[in-house]
Amino acid sequence: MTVYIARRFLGLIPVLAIIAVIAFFILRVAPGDPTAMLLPQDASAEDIDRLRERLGLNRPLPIQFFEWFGSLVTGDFGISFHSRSPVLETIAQRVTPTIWLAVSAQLFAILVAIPGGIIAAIRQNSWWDKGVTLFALGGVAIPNFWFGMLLVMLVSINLRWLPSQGFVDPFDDPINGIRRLILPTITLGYAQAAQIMRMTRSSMLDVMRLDYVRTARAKGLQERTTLFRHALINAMNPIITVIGFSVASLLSGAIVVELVFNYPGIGQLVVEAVGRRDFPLIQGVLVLLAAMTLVVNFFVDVSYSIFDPRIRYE
Amino acid sequence: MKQGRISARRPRLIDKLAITVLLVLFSFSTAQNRGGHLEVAIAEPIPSLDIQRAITPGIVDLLINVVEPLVLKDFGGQNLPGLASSWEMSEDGLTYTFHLLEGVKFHDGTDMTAEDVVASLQRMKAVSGTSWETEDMESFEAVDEYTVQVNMSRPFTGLVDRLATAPSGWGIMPKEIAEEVGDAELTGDQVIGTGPYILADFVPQQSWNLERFEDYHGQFEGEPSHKAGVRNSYLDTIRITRVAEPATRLSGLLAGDYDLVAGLSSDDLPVLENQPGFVTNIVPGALGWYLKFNSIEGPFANETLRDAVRVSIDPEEIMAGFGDPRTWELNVYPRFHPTSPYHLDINEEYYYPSDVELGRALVEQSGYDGEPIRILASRDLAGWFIPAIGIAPMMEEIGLNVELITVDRAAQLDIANDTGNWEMKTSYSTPIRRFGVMGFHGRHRPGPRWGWSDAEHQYYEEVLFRDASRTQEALERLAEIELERSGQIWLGHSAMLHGAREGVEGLPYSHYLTLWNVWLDE
Repeated sequence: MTVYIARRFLGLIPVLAIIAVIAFFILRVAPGDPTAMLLPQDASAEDIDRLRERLGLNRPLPIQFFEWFGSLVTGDFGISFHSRSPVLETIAQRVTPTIWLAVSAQLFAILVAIPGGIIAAIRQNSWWDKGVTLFALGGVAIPNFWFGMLLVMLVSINLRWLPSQGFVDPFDDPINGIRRLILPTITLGYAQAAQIMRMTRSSMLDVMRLDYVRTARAKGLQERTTLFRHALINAMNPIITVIGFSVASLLSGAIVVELVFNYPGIGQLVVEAVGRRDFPLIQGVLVLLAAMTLVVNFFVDVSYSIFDPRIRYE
Repeated sequence: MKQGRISARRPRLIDKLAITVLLVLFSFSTAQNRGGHLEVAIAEPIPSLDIQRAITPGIVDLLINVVEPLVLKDFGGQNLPGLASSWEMSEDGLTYTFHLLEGVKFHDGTDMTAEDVVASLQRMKAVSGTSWETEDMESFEAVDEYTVQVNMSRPFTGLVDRLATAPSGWGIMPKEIAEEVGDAELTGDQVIGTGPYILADFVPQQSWNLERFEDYHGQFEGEPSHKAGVRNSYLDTIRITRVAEPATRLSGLLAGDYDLVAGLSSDDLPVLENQPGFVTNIVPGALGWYLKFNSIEGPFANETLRDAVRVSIDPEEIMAGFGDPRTWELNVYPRFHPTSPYHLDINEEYYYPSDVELGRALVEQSGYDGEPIRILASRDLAGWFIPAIGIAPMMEEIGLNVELITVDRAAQLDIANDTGNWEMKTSYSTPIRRFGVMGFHGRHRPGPRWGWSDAEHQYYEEVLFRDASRTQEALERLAEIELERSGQIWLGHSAMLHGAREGVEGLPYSHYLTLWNVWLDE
């Protein structure tokens, strides 16, 4: 098991390296010169050339790549073209709000979806089941940005219950921080909840038809024990897979949600960096997001054996 | 003169009288309250705080309240005293002498002297991204404590205008800071000016807190207009937050998260006007829009084909894409807004006749063979795609094979660099900021001159830059040439829109976020 985990973990490194290569070269292929976004429209060719020299954009691409990649492996993500501040420092300022949002949205999704999915499964074809299915369909079908705007109109503008935007670290100001987190959390978490809920329902339905659940019931176990100790635990692997995959969609969904709620996270940062062709910043964010996604999926893989003892890694 | 361009339809322009009334309305009275906090949302990003390198409108919006220049420009385009109370130019146009205000303090408590001005101008020359703005400024000298001399390498009559209009405003900072930072990036704690508000603290690229500068000199005089006139600092504190999404800015205002929002869209006007408790502020003439022909290569190198487009399009229908009619105005030559002293009354013969049949005939006459006409536009700002979307069907109607290319701003600028990539593109001029000599001076950069002959260049070199008394004559000649050559489809101006909750008074009558006369009526 330990050998497998170590090997699996080491396997992340070449994947990350490939992502870094792609991130670097895809930006160079795409149209858009970073200097055009840094200089006035009437800057002269000499001004543009001088700036390209200062930013290191005049050197051959392979040299630019190896310099950047060499620095990356030592933990130096480079300097932002626009703010001239270290990329890692810029990302660090934005990662805290995104982590708050991603974790709270995932928690919201799990807390809503797993009980909802279980109820739908044990009361199949009831009004509960139909309600849960409708909820799940809504989550899949309604775009994040529209749902977020509806919430803002209702809760912030009409009812004036919660602020419409911004971020305050809940560690600094718990009440204000949580109040500002509620709407983005619901907006982002709803779509996640819908996916997890559908998977929980179908996975539970599958498991509850199996013989060992029937046996558990036949031998007189309490329904709660049957559901949670026998059915749910065996239904967890597909649910965990969906949760793992949803991390990536959580991060991409955060881009839209952060814009709607003017939430200063990684999503907004990357959108602006792309618009300005701030290459070091975009590359840094892409590598970091890819690393986060890979690590989460690594833990998901490893966790399979916890829920299903039959799975043994060699 | 070309026939077929004559039309009885006059462009609808904002009435100068209305502007005057607005100016009076927005001017300050004696009843302003002192104190309070203002929450402001802005649209533009502020990636850096180095005002001397700065080019983005966001940086100017923030730091215009913090850092002050030597010369100020009013809404009509006049250059008025700023930190320099007066100035003179030598007869040969090679030396400028600026007399500075006395008793001006920087935010760090030190007095502003000529040494600070010299160091600031030297740094500006060293770090500016547009060397054509600074290369002819040979040296700067502190003649005495409050007199600065700028020595030019060639005669140039437009220096004062340049100092007043450059996006950075040539802000003056303490000598120690200018020398310490050199050509490195100016950081937040080094942003020290003489303005009515101090940059107290900030969260990079998110929000910026300003505090009233208690020792503000308050020596600027006259009616507040654009950057010029009396400056006060009524508010205790201001927080400026960058909000990228237009709908989010509006919802923030409606939900009470912001008191003032700069950069609203035309669609937001009716929303705010139908809600009790909100006011809107329309500042006309922010940007002058036009569509530029690629007259260097491709189908539009043919002047007859350019004329075919000019005579057939309906500029009013194109500009209507900007939405609410109060937010745009037609102008057949929008290099200057009607409020500018340099605004020219363009002869009716240059108005567009919107004659589709004539357009078709000219297409036929031009020998156009159906080559694709690529219109390059950016989707990042309404003005960059509305003219393109508006004109495309009109061009198709006269038989042109139109292809619309909409990309983001960075890609648009990159693609536009190669004249082989496009036949027409959207563009704009800034009627106040770069009125007069500024725009023409920019043409001295290397590269295609868009049909400007060496003789014409020489003319502008001699007249516009060396003889201020002939500026109007030179501008009229320029307009005539630009209109004659059909190099552009001139459209009109779009306005800057601000929205605020009721109780926020003294809203800026400027295309910038000038907050010095804003106060709270509560």
